Amino acid sequence: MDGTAIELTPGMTVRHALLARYGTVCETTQVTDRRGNLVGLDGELTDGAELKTRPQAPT
Amino acid sequence: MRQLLFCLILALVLSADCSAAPITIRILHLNDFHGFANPSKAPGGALALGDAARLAAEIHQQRTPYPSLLLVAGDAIHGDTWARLSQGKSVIELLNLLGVDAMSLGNHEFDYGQAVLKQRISEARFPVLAANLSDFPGILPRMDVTRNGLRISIIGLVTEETPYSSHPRNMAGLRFRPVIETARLQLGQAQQNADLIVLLTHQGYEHDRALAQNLCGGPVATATIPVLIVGGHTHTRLEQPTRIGNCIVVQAWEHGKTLGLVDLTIDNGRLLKLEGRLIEITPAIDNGDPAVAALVHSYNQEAAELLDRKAGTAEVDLIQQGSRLHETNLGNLVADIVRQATGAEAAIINGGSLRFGIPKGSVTVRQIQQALPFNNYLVAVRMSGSQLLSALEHGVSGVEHEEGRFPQVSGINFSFNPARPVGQRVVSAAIGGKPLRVDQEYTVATLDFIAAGGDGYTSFGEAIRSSGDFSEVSGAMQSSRLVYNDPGRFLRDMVLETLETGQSVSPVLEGRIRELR
Repeated sequence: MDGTAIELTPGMTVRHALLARYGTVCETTQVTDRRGNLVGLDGELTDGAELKTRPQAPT
Repeated sequence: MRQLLFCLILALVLSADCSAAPITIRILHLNDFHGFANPSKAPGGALALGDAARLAAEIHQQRTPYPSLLLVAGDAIHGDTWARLSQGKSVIELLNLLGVDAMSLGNHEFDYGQAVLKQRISEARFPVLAANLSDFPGILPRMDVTRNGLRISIIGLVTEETPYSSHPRNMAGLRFRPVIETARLQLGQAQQNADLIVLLTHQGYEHDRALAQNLCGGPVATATIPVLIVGGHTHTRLEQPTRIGNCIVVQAWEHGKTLGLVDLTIDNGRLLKLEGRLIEITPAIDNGDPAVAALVHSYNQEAAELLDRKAGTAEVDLIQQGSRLHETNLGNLVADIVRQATGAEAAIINGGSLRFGIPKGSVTVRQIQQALPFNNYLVAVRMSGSQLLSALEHGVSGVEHEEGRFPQVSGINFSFNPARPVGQRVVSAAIGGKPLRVDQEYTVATLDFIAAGGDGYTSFGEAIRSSGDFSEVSGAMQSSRLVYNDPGRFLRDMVLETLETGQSVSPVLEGRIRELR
């Protein structure tokens, strides 16, 4: 997550990866995979997944 | 005779030409619906997206121009309240109305247990596919269909990680074979009599890419005809199809917020044209499908009635206020349920997970939902006394700011002095009535939120990693220290079950947490 290696228990999701990295989840945070595709916070993690948080554009 | 032979050959050539006319097939696809029949906000989005009635109208409209298939790539029946209150029955009724042609199994389809899943499959008017799962009644490995003369073989594949991501009781007797091996075997059989193969998977985008590379990459590709991989699991919003040789990978985000669309024009086993995109489903009151709107409304009403149903009785006020500062009786009740449900010696939950109190008297399902609004599930870990002590120290490290990390506990008694420096505040601690020993191991239950590191807790992850038999299986931590993990069952459902047993609850303050001055 954002360049930091994290480890989680089976069944955990992008939301848990944010918790592991930042200790909190902001519901407005957008997360992308290594190829820049948006992923949902409930998206499940797979081996070697690389995630990045995306700064929010003003709405 | 020669004339007759010439005519026969001419007829064969003409008929061959005729059968080789390009055919366009439209594949519509959804994944990770998770019962979101009602609109919901996407992270960072200003507007809610998704709406089953609007989705249905879009599907009907998009099915018109070409012969088509509507496919669902797993994780449909579990998640949102709209699905959970009927254990996924509402979703199967919805998918029947949408005219789904096939669905692959997702790992969360097992979350209600095998008996419920069998029942849901029996209610579906479409096949549920998983070629790499053995011996599960009602599940088929693949289905063969023809659309406008195009022969299509649809093969279901579910993540091999399923046994690790659900409670063992849901996995009893099931065997999941490797996806790539199964796909190669099925492909070898199916492509002899097909013009297009669809792998309807639930394993995540990167795994789908690896599968495509395996089947279609390199100089000697296994796939001799086009292979469309319709995937799910990672909730990936893949705006355009990914093409790897003869393989195409698609995925359509989550929760019915988008509908995936792929048009494939195939001529004699060759892909002539590929177009794909996602269609955002914007909620609208006036142009949804009326039958689906009625179904969604009916289950919404049922859910509302269920929420107002009496779950049990509280003999005392269940007080949430102060859960970030000191022991509360609601904290004790919930922490006790966490400990008992997991069989752990001790339990720690964060005070911030408790959002509302409940007045004494009848307790409704809605009140429990409000008190515990998060989809937290339970995890239990074997950890050293030293790690448990660290967790408690962390829990009281932000008490002066009423941080949500403040612990509510079960099986634990401890005292702390908030005037001391952070990391030295716990003065005494006992587990099961005996003084905590830093070199002894304890089984400690908690919420997935804390186990993942939420609110800054690190002890649970450290405990798992510090095991001698620690390993990573498919990227997830595995060790004998992870003794309970049930992502498919939420804490509030366990609290509900406790109240529904008919016993009234009357938790009291017991001096589990003492603040020293």
